Amino acid sequence: MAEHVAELIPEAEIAEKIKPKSFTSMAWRSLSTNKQAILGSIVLSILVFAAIFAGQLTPYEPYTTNYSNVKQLPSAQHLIGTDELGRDGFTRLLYGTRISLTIGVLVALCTMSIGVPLGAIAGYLGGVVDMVIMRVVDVLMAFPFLVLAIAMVAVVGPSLVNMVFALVMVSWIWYTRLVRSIVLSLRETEYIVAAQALGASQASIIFRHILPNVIPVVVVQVSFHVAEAILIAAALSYLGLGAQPPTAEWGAMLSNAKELMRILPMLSIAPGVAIMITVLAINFIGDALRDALDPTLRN
Amino acid sequence: MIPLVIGVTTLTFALIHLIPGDAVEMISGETRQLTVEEKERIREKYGLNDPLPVQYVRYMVNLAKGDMGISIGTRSPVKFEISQRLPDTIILTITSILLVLVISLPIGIISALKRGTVIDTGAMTFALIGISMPAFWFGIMLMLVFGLYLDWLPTVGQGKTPLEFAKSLILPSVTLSLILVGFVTRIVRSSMLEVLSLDYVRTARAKGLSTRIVNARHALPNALIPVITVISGQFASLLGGAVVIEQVFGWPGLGRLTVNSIFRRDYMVVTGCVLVFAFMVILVNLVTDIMYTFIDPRIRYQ
Amino acid sequence: MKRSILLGFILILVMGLALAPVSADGHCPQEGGTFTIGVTNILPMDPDTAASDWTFYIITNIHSMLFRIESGQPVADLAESWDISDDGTVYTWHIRPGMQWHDGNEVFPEGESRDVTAHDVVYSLYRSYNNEASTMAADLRNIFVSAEAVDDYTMVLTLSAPDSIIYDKARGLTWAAIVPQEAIELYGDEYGLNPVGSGPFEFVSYSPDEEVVLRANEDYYIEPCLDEVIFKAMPDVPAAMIALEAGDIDWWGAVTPGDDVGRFQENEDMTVINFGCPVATRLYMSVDKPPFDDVNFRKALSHMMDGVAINAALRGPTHVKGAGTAGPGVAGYVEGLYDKYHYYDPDLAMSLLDDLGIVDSDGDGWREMEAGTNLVLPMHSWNSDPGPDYVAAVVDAGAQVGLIIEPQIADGATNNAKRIAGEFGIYLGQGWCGEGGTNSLWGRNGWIDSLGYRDEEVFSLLDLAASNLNEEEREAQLMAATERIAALYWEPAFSFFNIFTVKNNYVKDFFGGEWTLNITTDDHNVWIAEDER
Repeated sequence: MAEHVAELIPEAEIAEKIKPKSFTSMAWRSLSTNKQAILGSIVLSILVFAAIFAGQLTPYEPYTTNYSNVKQLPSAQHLIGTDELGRDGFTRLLYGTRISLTIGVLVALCTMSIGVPLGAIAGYLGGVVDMVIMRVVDVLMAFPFLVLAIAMVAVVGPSLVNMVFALVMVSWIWYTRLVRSIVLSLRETEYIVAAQALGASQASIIFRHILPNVIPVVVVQVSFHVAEAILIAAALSYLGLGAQPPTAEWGAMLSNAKELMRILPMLSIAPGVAIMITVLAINFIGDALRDALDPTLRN
Repeated sequence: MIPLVIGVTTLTFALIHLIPGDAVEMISGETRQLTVEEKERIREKYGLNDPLPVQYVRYMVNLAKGDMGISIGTRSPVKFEISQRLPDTIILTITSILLVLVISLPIGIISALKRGTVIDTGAMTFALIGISMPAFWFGIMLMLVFGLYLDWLPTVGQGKTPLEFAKSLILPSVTLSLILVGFVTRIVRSSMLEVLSLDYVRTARAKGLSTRIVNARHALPNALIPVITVISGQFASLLGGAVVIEQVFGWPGLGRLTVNSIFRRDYMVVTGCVLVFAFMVILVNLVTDIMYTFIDPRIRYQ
Repeated sequence: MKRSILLGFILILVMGLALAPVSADGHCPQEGGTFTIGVTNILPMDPDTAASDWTFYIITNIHSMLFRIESGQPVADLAESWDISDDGTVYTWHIRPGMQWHDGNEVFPEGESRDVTAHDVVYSLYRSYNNEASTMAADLRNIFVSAEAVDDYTMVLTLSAPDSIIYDKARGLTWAAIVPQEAIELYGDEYGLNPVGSGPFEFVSYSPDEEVVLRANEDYYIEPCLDEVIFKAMPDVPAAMIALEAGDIDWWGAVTPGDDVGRFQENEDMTVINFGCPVATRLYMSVDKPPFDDVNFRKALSHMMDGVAINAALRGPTHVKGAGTAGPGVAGYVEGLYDKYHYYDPDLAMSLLDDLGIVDSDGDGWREMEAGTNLVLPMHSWNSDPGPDYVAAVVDAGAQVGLIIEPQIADGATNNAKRIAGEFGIYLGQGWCGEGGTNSLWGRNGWIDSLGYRDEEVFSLLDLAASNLNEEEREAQLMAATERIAALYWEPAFSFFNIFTVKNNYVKDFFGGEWTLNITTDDHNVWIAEDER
C-alpha cells in the first residue's frame, strides 16, 4: 500500500521533468484551475473544520456512555444511530476525523523527516554510507509492509502512539529511495558539476541546487502518504493493533460496529465512507499537485 | 540475494524476540495453568533458555539444512504449518492479480483512447475511489451483500469441492484485488497515453495502418511494460493486504498464520512465514526481470 | 410454529423411514451426511494438554470417556456402570466389553486393533496424574490415591476423601479421555496431531487454524447416523454468525453474541440452546499491590460502575442480573450479591476514594494518590468482542469519579506474560460457572493465585465443601465461600450472561452445550435431515 506513493513517480524521469523555479507560478496556476484540486480542498477544509470544532458541532460526548439509549436506529437525534454503549455514532465519527487526520499528517511528516535526510545522504555521499543505507532499505523492502508493521506494533504494544512509531519505522524507506534517486541523477547533471567546478560549497550545492528539486517531489509524496497512512492506520486499528477503546478512531469503530452489522448497518457503513471521503479528498489534492509539478502529464 | 536473506532472517528473529511474553506462557492458558517446572521443561526442550545469539546461530544452521524448526504452539514442524497454508495464499494472490488485469486493462485502455470524455473521467474517478477505499471495509460490505442479503456466496472459510472452493475464493480475491485495481488502471491509462504519443506509433498510423491494429500491435505491448513493473513492485503490498483480508474472510492462508503466530509468540513459525513472504517477493521480482526480456527485446542481460 | 415443526418432523421421519436405507437396528431416520460445527478455535487434540473447551468437543468424540454428562447427570460410556463405596472414597468402574481402538492408522493397522481394557483406563488416569500440567483439576489431584485394574474389565479408583463434585462438568474425571499407550509412545508430544481413540468418531485430518475432520467409527457399539463430522475454526464471530445463518455451518458451538441470540430466537429455522451455566464478566485485580490491596479501593471501583446496565447493554437477551463466583443454578450461588455489594453508587465511590486520600488536589479533574501525579490504573483486557466494549464502559465510569483508567488491550500471550510479571493492575476477564471452577479458580493454587488473592477462610470452606457428601451442608459451605469472596470485593462484577449455542433445525436428535457435545450416545444419535437444508 505504501508502495503506491513511491511508484506513482517513476524515479528516473523525475530529475528530467522537474526544472526548478521556472514553473512555480505555472504550477500554482495549474493547481488553482484544477477542478479536482478545488473539490478536494473544499472537502478537506470541511473535514478540518469538523475535526477542530467537533465539540461545538454536536451536543453529545464521544466517550460518555448512556445505557438507556443503546443501539438506537438512525434518527434526527442520532444521525447514524447509537452504539452498544449508547454513544452517538455521528459524534464519534466527528471526533474520529480529528484522530485520523492527525495520524495521517503525523506519520507522513515524521516519516519524511527521517527518510529524506537518509536518502539525501545516501545519494550525495555514495560509497559505504550509500551501501549500508540501501542494504537496510532492500531488507525492509523484501517484507510485506503490513506484516512488518504488525510485528512492530506487537513489539512496542498496541496504542495510537506506538502505531505511529511503527508506521514511521517501516515506511521511511520510500522517501529514502525516492530522494536518493533524485539526488543521484542530479549529482551528475551539468549545472551541478559546473557549480562544483566553480568552487561552490557543499552546503550551497545542497541548499541551492538539490533541495529545490527535491522539495516538490517530496511534497507530492507526503500528500499521498497522508492518504495512505489514514488507510493503514484504520486497518491496524481494525485488527486491534492501533487505537484502543474507547478512542473514537474510524478503524476501531469499524471493528466494533461489525458485531452490530445486521441491526445497525449504518455504524459499519459510515466510518468506511468517512475514511473513503477523507482519503479521496487528499488523493485529489495529491493528484493535482503531481500534475502541477509534472507538466508532461498535464493535458 | 544471500545477504538479503540473512538480513531478513536476522531482522525477523530480533523483532519477534523483542515482543514481551513467550510461547510457553501462551500454552499456559487461562483455564489451566502450567507449573513453573513444567514451563521450564518445555523451555529447556525447545532451547528457549539459551542466550539469544546461541538460539540465532542454531536457527540459521538448521535453516541452512532445510529445517525450519518446530511450532511451540501446535508441536508440529514449521514446514508442515507453512506448507498447509502457502498454496492458499498463492491461489488467493494470483486470482487477485488476474482479476486486476481483467478489470484494469480494458478500463485503462478505453480511458486512454477516449481521453477527456465522460467515460475517461468516470473511469478515473472510479479508480481513485478504489484507491481511497479501505479494502477490509469493502470486504465486509461484500460479505454483507453477497453472503447475507443475496446469499449467493459463502462468507467465510474455504470450500472443499472444486466448485465450492471457487465460490469461496470469489469474495476474498475481489476484495484483495481492490488494493491494486484503481492504481493499475491509472498506470495502464497513463502509459498507454504516453505510448500513443510516441513517434513510432504516430508513424505507424501515418503509414495508413488502422487505428485498431496500431493500438493492438504497437501501442499495447509497450504500454504493458510499466504495468508489469507496477504489479511486481506492488506484489509485496498485495501480500500485506492478504494478511488483513485473510483475517476478514477466515481464509486459511499464510497471512493469517503469521498474525496468529505473532499473537501466540510462536517464534519459529513467524520467522518461517516472514522468510517465505520475503522469498516470494524476491522471486516475483526475478520473474519480472525475466519477463521484460520477452516483452521488450531491447532489454538483454549482459 | 411449534406445531408446523412437529408436523414437518413427522413427515420427514416418515419419508426418511420410507426412502432411506434403514440401518441394521433401524435407529437412524436418515443415514449419512456431514455435520459441520463452528467453534472459535481448535488446538491439537491431546486430552492431557488441550486447554480449550471447544477442542474438547472433538476430543470427547474421538475418545471414550468413563462417563459422559447429559443435563447435569452422568450417563454410561466406556464404563457401563459403577459402584461407589458408602464412605464415597472407592469407585468401582465396570468397563464395557468389546470396545475397540480405532484401526486403519499408524498405530493399529486395519483389522489389527485390540479391546479397550481397564488397564488402558489406569494408564490414561496416571498419565494425567503424573503430568502436572494436565487437565486434571488440582482439587481432584489432591485426593487421588490410586487407580487399579482388578481384571480386564474392572477398574477401582481410590480417593483419600469423598469427592462431592466428581460429576462436575468442568472437572478432571469428566475430561479424562481414555488413550492407548501404543499411540502415546509412538507420537510422544505430537499425539495431539494424531489422536487415536475408541469413541464414536475416528480422526481423519487436522488442518491447523482451519478444520478437523472425523468420520464415523463403524465398529462403535452404537452405529453413528452421521458419516462425517467437521469442526471449523472461526475466530471471527460475526462472520461465523453469517455462515451459520447461511447454513455453511450447522451448529455454532461457542459463545453467541447477545444480539444474534435475540435474532436467532425469532428464526423458525434455528434453535437456540442454553448452556445452563451463566458466566460472569468481572474485574480481577492485583490485590497484593497498592492501591488494590485496600478493600475500600476495590469497593470504590465496584460502586463506580453500573454493572447491571453495562452488562444488559452489552449482552442483550443473554444478560442475567447477579454477582458472585457461582452463577444462578450452580451450587454455591448466593442471590442478591449484586444489590448487597456491587450496586451502582458513584457518590459512595467518590467518598470512599476521598477517605483513602485519593483526591484531586490540583483541580485538573483527576485524582492523585501522590501529590503531583495523577493516579493511572492500567486495565488489561482480551482483544475480542465484547472485551473492548467493557473496557470503554469502565474507562467512562472511572472518568465520572475522577479516575484515569488506561486500557491495554492485548492478546492472551501478552496478558499472561504481564500477569506473571505482576504488572496487571486491573484485568477484565470472564469467570467460570461451575463448582469445580470455584475450586480451581478461587481455591488454593488456583488461577487467581498469581494475582495475590489469598484467604485461608475461603480456602478451608472450599476444601470442606469438596469432600462433604451432605448436600445441604455442602451448599451452605459453598455459599459461605461465595459470600466471603464478594465481601472481600475481590471481583467487581458486571452481572452474568448466559452462554447460548445455536443450531440449524435440520440437525436432529442433538444434545450439546454445558461444555460437552455428545453426538452418538445411548440416548442421542445426531442425524441430518438433508431435505430440510
